[in-house]
Amino acid sequence: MKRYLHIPNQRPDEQVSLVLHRHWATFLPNTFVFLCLVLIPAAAAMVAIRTLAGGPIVKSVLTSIPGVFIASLYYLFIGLNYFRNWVDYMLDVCVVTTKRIARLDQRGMFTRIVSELELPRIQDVTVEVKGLFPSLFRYGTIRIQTAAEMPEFFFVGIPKPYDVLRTIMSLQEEELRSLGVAPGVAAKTKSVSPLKDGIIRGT
Amino acid sequence: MDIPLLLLGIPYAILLGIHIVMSVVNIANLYRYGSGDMHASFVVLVYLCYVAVILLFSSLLLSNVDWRSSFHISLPSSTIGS
Repeated sequence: MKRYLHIPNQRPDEQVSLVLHRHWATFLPNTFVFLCLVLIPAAAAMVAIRTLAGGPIVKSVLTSIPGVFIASLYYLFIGLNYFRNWVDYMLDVCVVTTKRIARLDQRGMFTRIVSELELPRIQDVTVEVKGLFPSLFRYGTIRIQTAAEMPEFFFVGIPKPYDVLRTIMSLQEEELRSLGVAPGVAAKTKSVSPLKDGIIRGT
Repeated sequence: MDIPLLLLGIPYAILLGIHIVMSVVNIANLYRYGSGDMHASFVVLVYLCYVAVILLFSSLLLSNVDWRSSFHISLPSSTIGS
C-alpha cells in the first residue's frame, strides 16, 4: 500500500479519497530506451571484439584507462537518467480529497509544482482514452475545466479514468450539497455521456 | 610532453562527484515528498546495486594501473622548406 503524500495546507475536515499515479505502462518507453542504451553499446563491443579483424585493438581501447572512464561514466549517467525519470514518475501525483484536487508535479530534480482546484469550481471534466496502449491498459487523460482564470487542469496516464471521473463528480456533488448549492446549477458535472473516440465528458 | 596518469582521473572524479550528488538529491526528493514506501526503497536499492556493480567493474579494470607513471604525447612536427 502506498503512503499518502504530504498535501499542502490540508484542512482538518478534509479526507483523501484518491491518490493517483500515472499508469505503469506510461513508463515503459523510458525502460525501453534505457535497455537499448545499456545493451546496444555492450553488444556492439562484444561483436566487434569477436568478429572484426581489429578486435584486439577494440578490446585494448575499451580496457584502456580513458576507455574504462568513458564507459563507466556512460553507464553511470544513463542509469542516473533512468532513475531520475522514475523519481519524476513516482512523484507526479494527483490527490483527490473531499474538498479539492491537488496536482503535485515533479519536474526534474529541483522543481516541484503544486496546484490546487476547489471541487465547486469544476465546470467540465473530460476523459480521453486515445490510442492502442491506453485502450489496452485502460489509462487516459483527465481534463478539468474550471470557473477560475487558471489554465485547464489535466492529468496524463491516469489508470481507470472513468472510475476517477465518477468519483470526482460524486465528490463534487457532495461538496455542493454541503455548501447548500444544488448540483448541476453552480457547476455542470452531473451526467456522463459517452462520445466518440473513447472520450467521456461530464457536462 | 609527459602527462601524469593521475591527471586523467581528475575529470573522472569530478563527474563521479556530480553523479553522486545528483543521485543523493533524487533519493532525498523521493523520501522528502513521501514516496518512501517498500516499492520505492526496493528501486533505490536496485539503483544503488547498479552503481556499485559499475564502480566495482571499473575499479577491477583499473586495479593494475600504476597511477604515478605518466604517458607521452608527441605532437606532429612540420618542417617548412626543404
